Amino acid sequence: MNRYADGDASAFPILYDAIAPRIEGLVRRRTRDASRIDDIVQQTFERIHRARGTFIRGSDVLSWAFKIARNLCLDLGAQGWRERPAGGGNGKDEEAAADPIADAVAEVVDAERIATARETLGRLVRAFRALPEPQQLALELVRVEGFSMAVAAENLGVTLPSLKMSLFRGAAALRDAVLEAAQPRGVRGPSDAGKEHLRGIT
Amino acid sequence: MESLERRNRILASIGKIPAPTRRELVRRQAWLVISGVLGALALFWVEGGLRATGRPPSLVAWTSLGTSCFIGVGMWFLFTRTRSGHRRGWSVLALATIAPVVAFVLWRYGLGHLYELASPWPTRPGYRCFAMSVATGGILLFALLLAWRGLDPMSPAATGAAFGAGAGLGSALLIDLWCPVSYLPHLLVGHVLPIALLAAAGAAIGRRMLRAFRRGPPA
Repeated sequence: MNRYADGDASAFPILYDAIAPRIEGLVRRRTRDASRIDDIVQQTFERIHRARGTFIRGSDVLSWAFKIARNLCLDLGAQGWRERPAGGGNGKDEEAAADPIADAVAEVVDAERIATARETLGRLVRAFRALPEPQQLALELVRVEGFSMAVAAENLGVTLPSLKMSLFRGAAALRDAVLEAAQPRGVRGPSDAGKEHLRGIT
Repeated sequence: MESLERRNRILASIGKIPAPTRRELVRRQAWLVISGVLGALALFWVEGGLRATGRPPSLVAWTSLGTSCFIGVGMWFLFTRTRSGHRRGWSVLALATIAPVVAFVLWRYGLGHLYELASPWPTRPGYRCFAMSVATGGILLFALLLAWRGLDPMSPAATGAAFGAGAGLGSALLIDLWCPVSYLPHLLVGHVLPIALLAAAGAAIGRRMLRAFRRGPPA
């Protein structure tokens, strides 16, 4: 990006190849409309291009690009993870089945485990969509995209303690949602096995 | 296949969009900002420039020195960006504006008291200082917005607010050299209110003027 900001046009394809898949992933989580994904990715790169002179040497280009893409998603009506598929389907199995993670799971485990995994995934997705937006964004940047907490806080324009609180609350809400459904009625608190199984969520 | 098509399409479209390089942009921005500062200084000079008007030179020196320090710190937070290249969050920007303003008012009022110059001055409610602050700060703000026009696709409103607050703080520094009154209501109306107004105007104008130009929907 530094070379590109200095005017080296040959650096743009390298930049594109490095960050386009990540940007596409971010946009894909907000909309399933292929033409809209295409448009948002293209406009993101056009904006990066126009503003290349303002890029500060050594700063985080991916965080920069993500913020531009997220603003564009908001501008162009791709409303976060809450957006429903274009067909109007809203069944929990449909949501889980359309997910590539669920498809990957399906290839390696038996039918019973597929059903359980789909159910858990559907529950997680629903719980995630029910979270307040700051918690969704914090979890997305830190847990999904792997940004450091400091960079994510700068990206979202919040303080570090506020981001940590959003992460903690979001993760706790997801964990509770999964455990609640896994527990038989009347049983309070997660079992040790359940805690062990869900450790990765936090 | 689809992504290869998109890659080619984006590479082709990028080639057609003019975009200044870092060096070109720095040069253009430096010209515009320097012009803005010179314009504000010219107006300040036309209106009388540095005026002691009964203030001892030591008071003028002390108030200006303190004000410069507070405003310098505030401006550093307002105009610089974080390590990852983002504008600072709204809470930091608000703090970077409010803290220097409070420190400036306390410093000016305290020193005025010390020199027995903070007594009520009903004939100077602060309207002239208000007009002068808005005019000088407005020139600075306009220059900053013009220099960054269409170049902030990330947080245009926050950048505009930071520019407005920075321009307001800069004008407060000039007006501090110009105005002898340390009466508290005068300070609030003539010196503090313009900063808030310029910050609000910067946010409102910046939201439209600084964001990258949007093209129409795809055909």
